[in-house]
Amino acid sequence: MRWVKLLGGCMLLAFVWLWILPRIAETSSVRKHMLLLEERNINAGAMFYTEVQENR
Amino acid sequence: MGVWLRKMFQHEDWLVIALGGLVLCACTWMVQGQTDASSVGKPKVINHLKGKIAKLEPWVDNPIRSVVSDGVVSGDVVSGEKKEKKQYQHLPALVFTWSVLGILLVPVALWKGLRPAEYWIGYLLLSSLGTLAFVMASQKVIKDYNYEYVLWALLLGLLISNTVGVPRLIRPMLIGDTIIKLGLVLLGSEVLFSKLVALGMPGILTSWIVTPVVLITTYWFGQRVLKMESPSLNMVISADMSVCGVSAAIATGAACRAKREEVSYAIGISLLFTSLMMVVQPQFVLWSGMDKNVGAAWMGGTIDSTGAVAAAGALLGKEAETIATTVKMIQNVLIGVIAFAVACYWSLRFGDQPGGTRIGVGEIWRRFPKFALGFLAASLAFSFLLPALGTPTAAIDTVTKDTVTPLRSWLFCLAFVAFGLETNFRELGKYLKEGKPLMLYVLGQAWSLILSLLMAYLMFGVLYADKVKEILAK
Repeated sequence: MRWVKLLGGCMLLAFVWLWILPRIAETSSVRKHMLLLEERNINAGAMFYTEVQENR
Repeated sequence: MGVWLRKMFQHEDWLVIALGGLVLCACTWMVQGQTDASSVGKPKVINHLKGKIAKLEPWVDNPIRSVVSDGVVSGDVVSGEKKEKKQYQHLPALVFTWSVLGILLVPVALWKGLRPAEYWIGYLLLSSLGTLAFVMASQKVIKDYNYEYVLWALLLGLLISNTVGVPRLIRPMLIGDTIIKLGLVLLGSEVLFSKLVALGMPGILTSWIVTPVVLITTYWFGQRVLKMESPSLNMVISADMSVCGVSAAIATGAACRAKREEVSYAIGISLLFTSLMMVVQPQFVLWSGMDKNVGAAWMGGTIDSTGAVAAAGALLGKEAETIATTVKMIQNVLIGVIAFAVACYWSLRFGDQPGGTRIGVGEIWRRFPKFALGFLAASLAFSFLLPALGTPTAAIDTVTKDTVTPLRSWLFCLAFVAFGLETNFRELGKYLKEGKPLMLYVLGQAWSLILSLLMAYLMFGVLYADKVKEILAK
C-alpha cells in the first residue's frame, strides 16, 4: 500500500509537470510573462541577487 | 581519520567553517591565478571554474532539455520564433558538480562516523533527488513564477518519507543541518557590503530602515499580540517576509535553531505570496498611476524573493527593473547583519531552552551558532579583504556569481531534500491548521507594504528623485 501511495504521488507529479504545466505555458498571459523575462534575461527563480541575471 | 577530525574540530560548525573557507579560497585562487592585469582598461579576468558547476536550462515540455539540448532552445517553444540554436550538454558539469560536492562532504561524513560505502551510496541517492528537484524547478512556468528549487527538494523528500518511509540506504545522509550551514558560509561571500552604495542614500534608507523596523515590530507583534507558541517560527516568518524570502528564512532559521518544519512552512508561505505579489503589485502601480521609480523601490522593498522583484520590475520598464533589483540587492546584504544579530539575540535570550533565564558569557558562547562567524568572515573577506589585496571587482563578481552561487544552490538543494526526508506531514500540518503563522505573515506584509510605500515615496519621489534619475542616467 505504501508503495502504491509513492507511485501515485510520482504519477501525479509527472502529470502536473509533463501535461498541465506545458499547457499553462501556452496560455497568452503566461507566454507574455515568460517572453518578457526571456528578453530581459531575468531569472525569476533567483533566490539571491547573484542569481538574478541569467548566464546565457 | 574521523577521530582525528573530531579532535581537531570539537564542534561541527568549526569543520563547516574550515570547509567553507577552503572552498572559497579554491574558487578565488582559480580566478586570481588567471588574472591578466596587463590588458588595457579593466583587468582581464578568467574564471576557470565558470560553467563547470551545473546550472540546468529552462524547459517547457521536455525535461531532458534541462540537461541536454536537442538544438531547440526552450525559449523557442515559448515565443515560437526561430532564434539562433543553442547547443548545450550539461552532463559533464553534472558529473563534476556531483564529484566536487561528494568529495567536499567526505570530511563531514568522517566527522559523523559514517563508513565510506554508506556515505557514497547515501550521497548518490541524495544527489539524484537533488538533481530531480532542480529539473522540476527548471520548468519554465515554475521558474518564471518564482517557485524555487528548495520547495521541490522538500516536496520530493516529503513524498518519499511520508509514503514508504526513509530508505535505509539514504538514512546516513540525513545531515541537512550540517549541509545547510556549509551553504550559508558560502552565502556569506555573496553578501558584499560594496553593493550598499549602488543607489546612494535613497537605496540604503529604503532598505536599511524599513526592513529592520518591520522585522522587529512583526516579531514583537507575533510574541506579544498573537502570542505565537514558537519564537523561532515567529522569527523565521518575520525575517523571510521583511528581508529577502527563502535565503533569509534559511539564514535566520539556522541562526535561531528553528525546527526544519518551521523553516519549511515559512518558505512555503513566502513563495506562495511572492508569486501573487510579483503579478499583482506591478499591475497596481500601473493602475494607480504611481511614479514608476517609487513603485519599483516599493516592490524592491516588499516582494520577498529577489528573482520575483526583478520580474515585477521588468513589467514597469528597464529603469524600474534596475531600481527594484538594486533596492532588493541592498536588502539582500542586510541578511548578513540580521542573521548575525539573530544568532546573538538567541544565544542571549533563549539558548537551548525557550524562555530560559539570563546566563553567563561562557554559556552564551556555548549556545552561539559558530557557523555564523564563518558566514560573517566570508562576507567581510569578500567585501573588504580581497579588494584591499588588489583583487579586481570583476574577479570577485565571477567567483561569487559563477562558482560559489551554483555550489551554494546545490548544497541548499541537498539539504532541503534531507529536510523533506526528515519531516512528517503531520508536523507540517500542525502549522497549516494553526492560523497564527499565516496571520503573522499577512499582517506583517501589510505593515511592510505601508511603511515601504511611505519610505519609497519620500526617497524616490520627493527627497532624492532627481539624484536617482542622475544615477540611472549614468
